[in-house]
Amino acid sequence: MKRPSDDPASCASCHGGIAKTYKLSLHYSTAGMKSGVRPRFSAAEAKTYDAAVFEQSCRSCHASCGDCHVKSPVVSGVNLGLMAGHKFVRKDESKTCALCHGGRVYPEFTGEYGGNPDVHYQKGMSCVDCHKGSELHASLGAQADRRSVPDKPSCAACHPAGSEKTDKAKEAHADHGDKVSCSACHASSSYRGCASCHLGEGATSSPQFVIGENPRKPGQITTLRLVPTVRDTFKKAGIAQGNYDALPNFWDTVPHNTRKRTDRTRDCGSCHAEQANFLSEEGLPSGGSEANKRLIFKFSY
Amino acid sequence: MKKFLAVLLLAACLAPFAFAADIAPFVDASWLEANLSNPRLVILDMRAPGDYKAGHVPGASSVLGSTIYVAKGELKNEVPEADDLSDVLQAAGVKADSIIVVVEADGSRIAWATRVAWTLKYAGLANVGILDGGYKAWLAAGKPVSTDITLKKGDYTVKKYVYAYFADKAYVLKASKAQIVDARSYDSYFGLARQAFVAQAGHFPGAFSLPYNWITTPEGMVRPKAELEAMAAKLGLNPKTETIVYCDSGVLCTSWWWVFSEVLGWTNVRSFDGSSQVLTADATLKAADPAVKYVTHTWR
Ligand code: HEC
Ligand code: HEC
Ligand code: HEC
Ligand code: HEC
Ligand code: HEC
Ligand code: HEC
Ligand code: HEC
Repeated sequence: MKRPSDDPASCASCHGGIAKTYKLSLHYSTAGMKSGVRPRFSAAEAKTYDAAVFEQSCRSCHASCGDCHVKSPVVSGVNLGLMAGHKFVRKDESKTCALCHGGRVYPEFTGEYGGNPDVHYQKGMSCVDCHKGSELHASLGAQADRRSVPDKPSCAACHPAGSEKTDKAKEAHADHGDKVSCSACHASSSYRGCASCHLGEGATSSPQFVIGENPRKPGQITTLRLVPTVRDTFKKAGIAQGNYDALPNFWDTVPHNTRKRTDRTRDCGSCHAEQANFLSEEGLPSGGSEANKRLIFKFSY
Repeated sequence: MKKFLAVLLLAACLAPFAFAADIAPFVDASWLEANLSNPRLVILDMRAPGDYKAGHVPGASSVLGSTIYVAKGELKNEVPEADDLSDVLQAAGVKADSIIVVVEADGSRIAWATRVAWTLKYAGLANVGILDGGYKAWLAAGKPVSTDITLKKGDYTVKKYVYAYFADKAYVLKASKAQIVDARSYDSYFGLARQAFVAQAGHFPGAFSLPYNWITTPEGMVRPKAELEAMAAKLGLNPKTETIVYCDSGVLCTSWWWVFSEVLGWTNVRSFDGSSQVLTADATLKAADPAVKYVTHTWR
């Protein structure tokens, strides 16, 4: 057997609860790769996508129990082998999460991309201090996409309003409430965005920093990430994406490079005067979705 | 010459480090063990958090290197803003009269250790030393290891930097009488190798070459003071002349800054934070002056 723990059933006899719910998780179903593009397709296209693209291409990235607990997953030929002999480990983020999320999140978190390390990494925290077993096992039920994961971490749960030590922080938070996301002020530097994804050829990734309307939370501005689906991404599979303009090309993201002080916490004028890094007409990808325009934020004054 | 060296060696053995600080620039594992119970001692473990959690010198605080030499836009390894540095130092337990020991992984990381130590001196702290040979030497000496996480609260606030230890591009271009020292490898100096973020191969015209890794033995321990002194002397460097050390991005150069200034006691030594990344750059890095033209395949 290549991946003995690929089938959760092999663990089910003893970890029945986890094995059952894990199948509902995004890591197992990779449903996020379905829900993230589905609305761009006609009904017929959606069928082709499910059979020809999703099952063939996307599903192959799913995580087995062992990818987080037994054997480091093999990614781009890097194989770190068994962790802690052949025993099960509860967690070992630098050998598990890091390999699959090594293109973006992990190196952002540790500062290896040359940016500033996340303050939580600095304080000795790692992935599982925020992303609990229950989130990753889908213990609370089926996960359709990242947004609807019920026990995903939230900044405010650990840093409730009113707990600030300084007036400066208290006032900045009180002035903005839910109108500006935590990341819009506390993401320290550029994070990875992708462009020009073509089926079978991959996408190009480059650093970016974009602030605009949150497509999933109207009335809030946040950090946005360019996600790679372009008009002809699925051309090879015969999918024209008839409803391409239904979804924007930018999605809200929480860059894992949080710092207490950033260009924006130091200078309110960075947003209020210069609107630095704000999404603008000129910043839209050419040939992109019409829906991108809705994400451009302008101050009313 | 032999006799001269012997005299130097003798002098080095007799004279303790002649500085006001309460700690030598390099300390060994025995010194550190003997001082573990000193309430003024603060140990900064600069290794990755995972390595720190797995075991460290008892009482050491974990500090991330990239919070002491920070990225600012495209520039790597810059000095942090004073408020950010104060936060980092306070979280590690640093007070104004602390006796601070910087611990890196091993001797190959000497320049990263000196970069931290230089920054602390630059931030006004008086008593800073480095564990010779790093954590590897601590283990090799069979010293105790702890996995307890230390959380000390310090109160040191960086009020102003000691500009006499620092050079920027404008300063380097004005300092026509200074001796410029290149702390990178021979390959970089001669222009055979180049970091992607440095726009030109080669070196600053007239610069002396003193690779940073010459400071340590192949085993990773700092060479005797007399040998370091002889290296500088034979190259023709004058201890009394203003000296500016540079490298690629501001880390390696602090190694010779530390040796010249702290070990040998030279009084006019500056480290160039921006180094080749800034010297060779065009307007994209907001360098007001035009790029310096580097020379290749030649001495000085
Ligand atoms: C024959 C029963 C059995 C099977 C099959 C089994 N486990 Fe376990 N597992 C256990 C027991 C018992 C424990 C210990 C529970 C405890 O200490 O609370 C355990 C603990 C664990 C732990 C926690 C380890 C730790 O250090 O705390 C993980 C992770 C784990 N198992 C994963 C798996 C995975 C993945 C599979 C399938 C590949 C699997 N197990 C199959 C019985 C089993
Ligand atoms: C085998 C590769 C793999 C491993 C190992 C892995 N991930 Fe993932 N992860 C993915 C993929 C693929 C997705 C996207 C799933 C989707 O959106 O459908 C994902 C999505 C996520 C998400 C967003 C969706 C959600 O569940 O909330 C989080 C958070 C996440 N991973 C955290 C982690 C953490 C923490 C670890 C380590 C404990 C980890 N991942 C290990 C591949 C992996
Ligand atoms: C994406 C990563 C990931 C995958 C895949 C995953 N787990 Fe876990 N698992 C975790 C995390 C995170 C924890 C919590 C570790 C901690 O808090 O110390 C955990 C904890 C556990 C534990 C011990 C504690 C508990 O919650 O009971 C067991 C047993 C376990 N997992 C079994 C499994 C089984 C069986 C599968 C497959 C059906 C699986 N896990 C798939 C990330 C994962
Ligand atoms: C300090 C808490 C914290 C830590 C530590 C943390 N995360 Fe997250 N992570 C979050 C939050 C908050 C979100 C956003 C959840 C949401 O609202 O969608 C998130 C989202 C994510 C996502 C989905 C993000 C996207 O843009 O698609 C992934 C994947 C992820 N985290 C992986 C990781 C990995 C891997 C690590 C370890 C390197 C990690 N996280 C460490 C808090 C944390
Ligand atoms: C699981 C709890 C948890 C989550 C979720 C979390 N944090 Fe934290 N955060 C912490 C802890 C613990 C610290 C360290 C506090 C300390 O050492 O004083 C911290 C530190 C910080 C600091 C530095 C505070 C200081 O005084 O230096 C900032 C800023 C911060 N977090 C912002 C965020 C943001 C923004 C998010 C969401 C992206 C977030 N946190 C999510 C627990 C969390
Ligand atoms: C409009 C910008 C802005 C937004 C939005 C924002 N912050 Fe802050 N935050 C600040 C400023 C300014 C400070 C003070 C920084 C300083 O001390 O220099 C701060 C400080 C903090 C601190 C350190 C608090 C302390 O006691 O010193 C934490 C933790 C933090 N923010 C978390 C959050 C979280 C969580 C959110 C989202 C719920 C958030 N911030 C949203 C601007 C912002
Ligand atoms: C990340 C960008 C950003 C930063 C940084 C920022 N703001 Fe704002 N601020 C906003 C947005 C967006 C609004 C909502 C404006 C609206 O609804 O039209 C807002 C609203 C406000 C309001 C409410 C009144 C109004 O204009 O609608 C005040 C007061 C305010 N900000 C003050 C500050 C101060 C003081 C700072 C510095 C500590 C700061 N802001 C930093 C983006 C920012």
